[in-house]
Amino acid sequence: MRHPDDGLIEEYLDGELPAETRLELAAHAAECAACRERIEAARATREEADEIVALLGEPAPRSDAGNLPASLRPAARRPIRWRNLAWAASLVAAAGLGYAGGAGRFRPTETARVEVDATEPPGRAAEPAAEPQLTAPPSDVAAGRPGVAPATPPTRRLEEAAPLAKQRVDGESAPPLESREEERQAEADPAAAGRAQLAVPPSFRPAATLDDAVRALGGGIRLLDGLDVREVSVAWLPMPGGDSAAVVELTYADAAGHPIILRQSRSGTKVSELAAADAAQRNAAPAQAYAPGAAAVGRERAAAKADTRDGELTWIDTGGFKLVLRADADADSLARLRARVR
Amino acid sequence: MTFDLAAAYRTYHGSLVRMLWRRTGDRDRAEDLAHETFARAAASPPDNPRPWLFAVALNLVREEGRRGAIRSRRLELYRAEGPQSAPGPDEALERDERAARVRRALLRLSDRDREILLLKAEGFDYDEIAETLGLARGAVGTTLSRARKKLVETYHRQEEGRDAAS
Repeated sequence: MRHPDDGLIEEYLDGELPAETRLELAAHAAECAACRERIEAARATREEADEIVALLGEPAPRSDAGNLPASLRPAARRPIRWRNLAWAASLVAAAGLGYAGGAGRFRPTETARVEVDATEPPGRAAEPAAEPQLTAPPSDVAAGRPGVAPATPPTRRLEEAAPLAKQRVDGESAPPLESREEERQAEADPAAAGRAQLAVPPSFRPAATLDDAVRALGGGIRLLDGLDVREVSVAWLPMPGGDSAAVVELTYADAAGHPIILRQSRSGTKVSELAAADAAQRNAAPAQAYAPGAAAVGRERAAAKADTRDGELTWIDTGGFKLVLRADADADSLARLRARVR
Repeated sequence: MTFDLAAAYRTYHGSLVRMLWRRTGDRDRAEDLAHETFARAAASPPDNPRPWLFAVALNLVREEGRRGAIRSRRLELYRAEGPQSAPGPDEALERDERAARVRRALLRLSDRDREILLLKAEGFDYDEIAETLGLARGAVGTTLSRARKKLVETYHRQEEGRDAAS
C-alpha cells in the first residue's frame, strides 16, 4: 500500500473502512513511521474536534419532547374531545376550588384535583362556537397532565384566582400575585379561566407557559376572548439602565389557521419599542401556523409573514398593558379582535 | 417502506433540534426549523428519514441565511429558555463562554465543514453524511479531516486571542 491520504486515515479512525483496506493500512503503518505519526496526529485532532463540538452543550430540554405535536398530526385524528376535556375540567376545577358564590371567596380547606376522562361528554353549558380546534397528544391526556388542576392556596379572592387557574399544571407553586388585580371581572369567570388553562396544548414550541407569562408580566395578562392560546413565549427586552422588560407573545389562530399574535408588556417599555421588538421578532422567528398535514406549509408561512406587515394594531389599555395585535386582517377585523382582548 | 411520522419524530426530533440549535445558536429558530422540517416530511414522506430530515433542515438554515438581514436587523431580544438544570452562576458563565467560543469558531468554517462536524456529532456514518450533504462517499473522509483540523485551529486561535486580550 502507498501512503494513505488524509481522507483514508480519517476513514480508518472513524471505523469506516472495509476490513481489507483497514488491514492494509494497519500493515503499512506498522512499517512507515511517517504514516504512524500522521495517524496519531489525525487521531488527536479528531478527538479534540469532537470535544470542542461537545462544548456547545445541549439545548434546554422541553417537557413535551418526543411527542408528535398536535399541529403535525393528520386531521382525521384530531380529537374534538379536547375541547370537551377543557370544558369539563374547568367545571370540576371551579367546583374543586370550592367557590362559595355569595361570599366571593374560596373555602380554605379544599384543594382541587381533577381527573378527567377524555372520552366523557362535555359539560352541560353551551360553548362559544367556531373556536379553532386544538388537539392534545393522547399520551398527555393519559398521563393526566392537562387534567389535573393546581392545588391552589385557597384563600385568594376570586379576582386573583382567575389568572392562577390559567397556569399549566406541572406541579409548580403559584406565582406571587399582588392584590392589584382590579377590574378583571371578565377574567373572573372560572370557566373561561379553566378553558384558558387547559387550552395551552402541549405545543410544539412552548417557549413558555401562560404561568410564566403571567409571572413575567407581574401578575396579570391580556387574553383574546373566545380563542385558545396556541403558543406562549416570553422575551426580555433590554432597557436603558440595564433593566429588562418582559414582552409576552401569545399566538392564536383564526378558523383558517392563520396566526393572530397578541404581544403585550406592562413595565417600562414604550409602545414604539414594543412594536419595534415586534418587527425584529417577526424577522427572527416567523409566526407559527401549520395546517396539519398541509403540503404548502412553507409557502403559507411565507405568505402570512409578508401579508401581515400592515395588519397591526397598537394601543395601551386602562390596566397599563401595552398591546400589539397582529393578524393577517384588515383594520376593521383588527378592531373587532381588539374588542375581544380582555 | 412506509414512513411513520410519529416514530420518526420520536427518534430524530431531539437530535435534529440539537443540531439546529448548535448550527444557529437560537433555540426558537431551531424549534421552528425542526417543525418546518417535520411538516415537510408529513407532506412528502421520505424513504430514508434521518438523512432526509437533516438535509431539509440544513437547507432551511441556508435559505434563511441567504434571505439574510435576520441577524442584522434583530434587536437584542432574549427569549426565555425552558427549565434548565441550574449549575452555579460561575460554572454556567464559564460554560456559556466556552460554548460561545466554539460557536464563533464554527462560524468561521464553511457551511460544509460546519455541517459535517455537527452531523458527525449526531452519530451520522459516512453513508448518511454523504446522502445528507450531497457528497460523494469517497469525499467524506477528506472533508471531515479538513473540517476537524480547521475547527481545532480556529478554536485555539480564539483562545490565544482571548489570552492576549486579558
